[in-house]
Amino acid sequence: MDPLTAAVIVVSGITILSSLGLTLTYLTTKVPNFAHSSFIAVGAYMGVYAQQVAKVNPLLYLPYAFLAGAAIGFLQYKILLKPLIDKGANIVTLMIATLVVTIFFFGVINIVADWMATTYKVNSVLINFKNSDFTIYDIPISVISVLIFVVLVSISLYYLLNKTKFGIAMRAAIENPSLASVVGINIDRVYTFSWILSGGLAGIAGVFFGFQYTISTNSADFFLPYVFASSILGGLGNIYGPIPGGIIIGTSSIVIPYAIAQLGYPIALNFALFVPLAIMAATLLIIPQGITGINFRKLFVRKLKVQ
Amino acid sequence: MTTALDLLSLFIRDIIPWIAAFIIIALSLNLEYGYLGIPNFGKLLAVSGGGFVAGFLPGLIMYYAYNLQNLGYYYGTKHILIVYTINNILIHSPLLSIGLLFLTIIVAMAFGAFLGLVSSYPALKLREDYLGMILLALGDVLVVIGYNSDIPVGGSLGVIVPSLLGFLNGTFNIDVNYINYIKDALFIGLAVGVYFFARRLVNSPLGRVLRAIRDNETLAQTLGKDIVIYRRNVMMIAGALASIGGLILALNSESVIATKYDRLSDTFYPWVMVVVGGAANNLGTTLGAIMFILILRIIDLYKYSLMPFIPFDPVWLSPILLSIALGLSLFFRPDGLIREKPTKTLSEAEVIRLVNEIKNTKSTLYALGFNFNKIKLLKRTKIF
Repeated sequence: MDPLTAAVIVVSGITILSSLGLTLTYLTTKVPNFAHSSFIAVGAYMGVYAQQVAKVNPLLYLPYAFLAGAAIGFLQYKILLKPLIDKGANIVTLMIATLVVTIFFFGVINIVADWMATTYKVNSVLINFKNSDFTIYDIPISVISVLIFVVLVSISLYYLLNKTKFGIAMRAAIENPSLASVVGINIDRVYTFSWILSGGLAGIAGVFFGFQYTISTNSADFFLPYVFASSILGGLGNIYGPIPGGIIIGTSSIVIPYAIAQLGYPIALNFALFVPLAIMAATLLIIPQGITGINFRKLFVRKLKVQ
Repeated sequence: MTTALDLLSLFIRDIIPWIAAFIIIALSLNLEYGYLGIPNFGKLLAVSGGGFVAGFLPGLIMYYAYNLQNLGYYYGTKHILIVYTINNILIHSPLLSIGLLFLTIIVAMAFGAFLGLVSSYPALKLREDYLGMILLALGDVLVVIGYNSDIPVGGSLGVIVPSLLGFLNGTFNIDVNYINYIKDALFIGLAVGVYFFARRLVNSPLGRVLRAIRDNETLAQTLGKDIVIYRRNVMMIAGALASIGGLILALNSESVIATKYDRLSDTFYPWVMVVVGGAANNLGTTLGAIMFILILRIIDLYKYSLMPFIPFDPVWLSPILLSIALGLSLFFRPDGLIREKPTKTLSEAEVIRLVNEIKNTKSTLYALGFNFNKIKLLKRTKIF
């Protein structure tokens, strides 16, 4: 399989998985989670443990990565954000509170990396999972599993939100928390669930992260703008926003630098970060509500009338 | 033989530039967040801007002014030789060195102000949450450029900053140890200057306008204050100040490499300092900065005695401690160690006299149908 296509699919998948969680927590608690990169980093280090210490394929550790991310998301909400929200903290205080988790896990991840290096005598920084990536019918396993996960997550999210009682309660809680609590929906349970899901999905994204990028203790930090850009482009008001957002961000951040490099400026490959940044800035200037916020029907109808 | 006193003086000399730099960065953040309420999660942009100016400006000016092109390309393998040549020129020309130093500081401030202008553009248009996200992403731009391209600071190899105070040794025969003291004095001077500038700024009528905008935008607008201009100007000032902080870090180590500036130490740590020390209080912020650099450095100092007992590098304990301090502060002291003082537009004696006068004429006022609930309200809003 063409490595460019593989990279596009894997990066889009990572972006979708991680920004789904970001949008979900933004919809419920109304705070942009700066600690989202910590979730990704924890998932990535689960993969590093699998490959370097347990000597198995990192993909086998996906459940552990999900659980670790989910646990951190749960604790972040229960210990830190919930009490602050109950105290009536404003949005900037909540943003500062997410910094607590970011700084804390910067320390923890470095400690884990050091511990792996000293206890098991293995490399624990500058790792990638390229060696664990075998192919089936010429398609890398990372691409297959990313595709499976993204499709699975999208379908089950759709099913959850539209067909189950809890999902409908969740949508109600997102739409209007006070009204939802009046009809007896447990808002806290909905919020907790969204934080668990957010952390878990980011943890899974962290494992896939290693198939495309080099994992170091701070390498997930550079990915945070991608996640923000994808959520904003898709529209922070819509839970399905990250799916188109992630595909566009993932594709353009791989393809645009590659195209410029083909024109004779190979240095462009190092400046891939500017693509999501430019898209984010342009989105906020032109369509601040994001792609899913555009009323296509209205646009279409207006055009018909003009004709 | 090194005594405990020598070690202490070494320790103090080691932390002074850090304290000076982070006091300045934290004060600039305090100006934006504490007094004006802009959540600038992109402090890294201005800080790295200041550092990069120190990294390329003095060296490149000397490189082109003295036609050192025949020695080779400025960045790369010949870099050390070129900087060595520049240093040899500089130690015999005090005026040139001092001129370059001031030029570097001024250009760094101008560049920082420009970066503040750039980051003020989204700050005028967006809500706090979107603003935080875009500023955080914007903060990485210079570091990415600096790491991947030769032009400002030599890419992954970094650059050496020419020694701008070397003339003290070369021309005036001052001992190298004393030069370090002079350097520290310069940094402390910059930090003290910034502190008094910030204090003067927030105690002036401008400072009161900033707080009014923070507390109630609409009210400030109805009083004829253009919040767009105030926000833009304050972000420019804060950018200029923050770039001095980055410049101090660069001049201190006499080298710049892009990876030395990162989001954690240049954006998140100043936030910890401001929030724990006390937002909208310059003294509190300064205290926070001093405290945190002390904690970071003391852990660094004792890490070798902790090493045998734990299977990892003890420096990673410091982010954990700092984050716990930040979390505790958010819960138990949300206003910080030193709270924001109420604004007094009249002198305190005058306020007390007026309050007493109102109390004395209470009965008269009752007769006139005066509403005392209003005064209670005013008291509660800290105007009295």
